[in-house]
Amino acid sequence: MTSRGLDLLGREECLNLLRTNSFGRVGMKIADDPVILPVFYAMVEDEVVFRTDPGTKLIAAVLETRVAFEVDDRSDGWSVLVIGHSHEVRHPSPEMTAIPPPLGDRWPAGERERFVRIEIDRVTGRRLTRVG
Amino acid sequence: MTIVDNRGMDALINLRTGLEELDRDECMRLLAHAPLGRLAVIVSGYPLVFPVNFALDGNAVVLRTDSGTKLYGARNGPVAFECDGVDSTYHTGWSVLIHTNAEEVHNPFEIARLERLPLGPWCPGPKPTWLRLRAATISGRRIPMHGCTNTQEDLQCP
Repeated sequence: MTSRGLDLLGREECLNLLRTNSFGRVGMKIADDPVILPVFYAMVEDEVVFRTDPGTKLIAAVLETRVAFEVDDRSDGWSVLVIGHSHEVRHPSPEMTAIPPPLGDRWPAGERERFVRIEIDRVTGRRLTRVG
Repeated sequence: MTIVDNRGMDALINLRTGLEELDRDECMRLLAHAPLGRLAVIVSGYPLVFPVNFALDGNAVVLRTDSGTKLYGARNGPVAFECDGVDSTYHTGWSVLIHTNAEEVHNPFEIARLERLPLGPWCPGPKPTWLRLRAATISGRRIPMHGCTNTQEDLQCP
């Protein structure tokens, strides 16, 4: 489907695009304010999974709040927006623990050991229509 | 905690996150070179995030939008604006986050001036409304590059 020079992407295409990337942004509401926090992520069984420390992102997950998750690729001209609920993963699978921490092996031991998954309620995507 | 990086500059490292905290000047410098930003708004109580092209007008972020969800959210509550950059080769990256209330620009002379800024749309379609984001708060974080930082304690070690 095309809308004003944009292709609107279906769920499967959005999930495929999410699998091609590893860097996105979590949007949360903290008190009444929106917050955007970048994360390195992986797709595990059609859910967005990332490592975190005991900070804002983990609090949002423990409270199972509704979050947004955005990934885009400017050179390819697409963006995907996930609406979902975040949850803490108490028993991460080997697939999750294989997700590299943002600082690689330089991360202090014991940090970024908590995992958050975003259960996808809705995913939408847009791709700029190529002309000619 | 203050550390000294390899440029001989003081850098502030957050011990909990291991990330360098960036001051306002460094945040503005990074924003000036960022090709794309993201705007978060709250709609019906829930956060939404949209990619947006933007320009800097002095120290304010300016962007254009149509009359859709972004404008509705920006008119009805606080917004967040984020830019980031990742270098997967060096495993480093940064992000800058602004919190503020968006101002709509109505003055036609102001709009004529803003239209001369280098700002194209992220996606096509008419974008009649200009929004200006003067940062009420601005914060930035950077993953320190490998081998580029030494703690004061390290430096004091023989």
